[in-house]
Amino acid sequence: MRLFLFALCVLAETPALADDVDLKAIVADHVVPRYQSLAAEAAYLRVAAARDCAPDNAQLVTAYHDAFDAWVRVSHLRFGPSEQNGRAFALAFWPDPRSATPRALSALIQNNDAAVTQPDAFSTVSIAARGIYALDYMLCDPQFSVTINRSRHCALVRAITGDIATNAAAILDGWQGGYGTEMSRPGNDRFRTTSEAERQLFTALMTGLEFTAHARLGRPLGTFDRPRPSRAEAWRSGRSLRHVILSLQATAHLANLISGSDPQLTAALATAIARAEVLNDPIFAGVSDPQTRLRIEVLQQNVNAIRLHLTQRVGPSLGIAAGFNALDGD
Amino acid sequence: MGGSHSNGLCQPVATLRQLTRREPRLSPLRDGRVLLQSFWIAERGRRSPSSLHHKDRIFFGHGAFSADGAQLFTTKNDIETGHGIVGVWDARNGYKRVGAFASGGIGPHDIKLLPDAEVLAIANGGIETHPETGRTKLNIPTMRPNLTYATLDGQIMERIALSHDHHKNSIHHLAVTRDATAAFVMQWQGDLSDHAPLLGTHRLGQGGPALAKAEAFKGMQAYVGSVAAHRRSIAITSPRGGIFLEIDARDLALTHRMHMRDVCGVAPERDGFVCTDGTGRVFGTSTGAVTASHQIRWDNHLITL
Repeated sequence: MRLFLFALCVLAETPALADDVDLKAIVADHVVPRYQSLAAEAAYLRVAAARDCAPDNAQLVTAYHDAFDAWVRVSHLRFGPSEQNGRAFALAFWPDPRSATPRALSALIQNNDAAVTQPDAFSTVSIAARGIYALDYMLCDPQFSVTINRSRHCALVRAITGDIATNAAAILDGWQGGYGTEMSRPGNDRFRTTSEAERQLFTALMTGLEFTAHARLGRPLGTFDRPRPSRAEAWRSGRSLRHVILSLQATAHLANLISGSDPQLTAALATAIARAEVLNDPIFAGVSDPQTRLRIEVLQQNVNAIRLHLTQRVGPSLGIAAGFNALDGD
Repeated sequence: MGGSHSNGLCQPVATLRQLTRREPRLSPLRDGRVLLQSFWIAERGRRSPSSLHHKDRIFFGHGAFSADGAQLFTTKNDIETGHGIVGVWDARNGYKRVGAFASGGIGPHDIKLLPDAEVLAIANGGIETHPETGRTKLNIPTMRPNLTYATLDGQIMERIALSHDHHKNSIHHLAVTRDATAAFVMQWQGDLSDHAPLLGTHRLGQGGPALAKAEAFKGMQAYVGSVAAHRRSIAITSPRGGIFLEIDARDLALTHRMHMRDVCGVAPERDGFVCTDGTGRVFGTSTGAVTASHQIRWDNHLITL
């Protein structure tokens, strides 16, 4: 961390020069196909749960993993249709430091809540009980997956998967029903200039990388004296490291489109992805082991260095301030 | 804003720590007053000194003194409930914690004493965070920021919420004019393309808030870093947009707009406002001239002493 902070003080003087960002290509090749994939996987997840909602149904579990993969690949794109009506939060409520998700799920089951059997009503329950992280508990945490009350468990799994499918479809509709065009061709009420659209995408890229560094890697790392493996993302279904890899791949794709394939950035992202791929620690259990921990920390530093490069070199070329206060956010 | 600390002290925790360890950074102004500026060296992100930490509470970085300087009021969240708390500290007794009351919302940030010295204005930003998740925002879909007025013993006198359309407009910082108009500035948590208004004003007991027109904030990236009041003028800064604005406190009309890279700290001086930026420079806004330059990085916390 100290090295990174030192690096922050050494401001790069000359911004990298990117050509104009091809907004149309980003929307058509990066955003929309990913949301199409999420909508398709979520629709299949609903079907799989409708057929057989048992946590040991292999088809359901596979559909869950596929839908989660699709979500992680758009998890950095939290603006526009995914922001409207809190859809992204309803799809993905994490991190959850207060354990609101298991509490909300338990309450729904114990109270035999009528909202579970009515899709419209379910969309109004606590967002902690909705979305794919709630499904992670329902399918993979013995507190919920090993249940004597099969019918209530089943109804809740179907409610959650139905809600996920509805939300994913609504986000795709939003992108295809106007937002995508507005972002591709600024000069409208939403994006008055090209630069406004570029800033939104750049912010999404930065936020996505920050989430990977701080939450996906930072939460299980905790501190050296107190590592926190049980805070890893979706560890119940063994997905923690997978999320880091998938999100780095997705953000790398967007970073290349935004930066005009800045060679230094491309190389840094490839290095980070390669490092993650050889970690061989799927749920970051190794945060307590000094050697594995070091490798996870190095990966986190790689991601932070990428963020720094984007801030100092790529952002300024898009007219986005790289100043100290501009980044502080207090 | 007066020459004493009676109108509230706005500074980050690191400065409080530095105040106890070494001299604060002071700069003279032309009218004989001085500026207290806060700055970061290498401790960005680690902002909470143990002396102002209380178990299960997090200190968010702003405080206000009572008129006699005997009590310091600071904002923080209760970790378990997520509800905002105003902590009360005995300034004459080593800043011993002597009490606490509800801030009237979630995620309180800035706090200012009104000119009558009997009422605190509290900016409840509405955003829930948790120490385990750092700055990750946990409740954007349900956030409801508000401006709360409370007496020094914690009785809530009025609470001003924004309409549902603006529920993602986090009220972060406050300035109070001499006629007790509270100017509150916001950081929009929705889409950057939503073009939200970022400044509002309100007077205790005088109905609803007035919001400036969203057009004035073009280019500010939906983010205001700081606010100050001087006579009938309100100054706001956006480091992300590199923009300084002056707005008339009565009709909320835009009167002055300047581009200043990474501008953030702003405080009143004799002829207008003085600003600082992240490269260590100090500006007078009436002329736009750099009046001083330091080898440190000013953040958003700048006050007139």
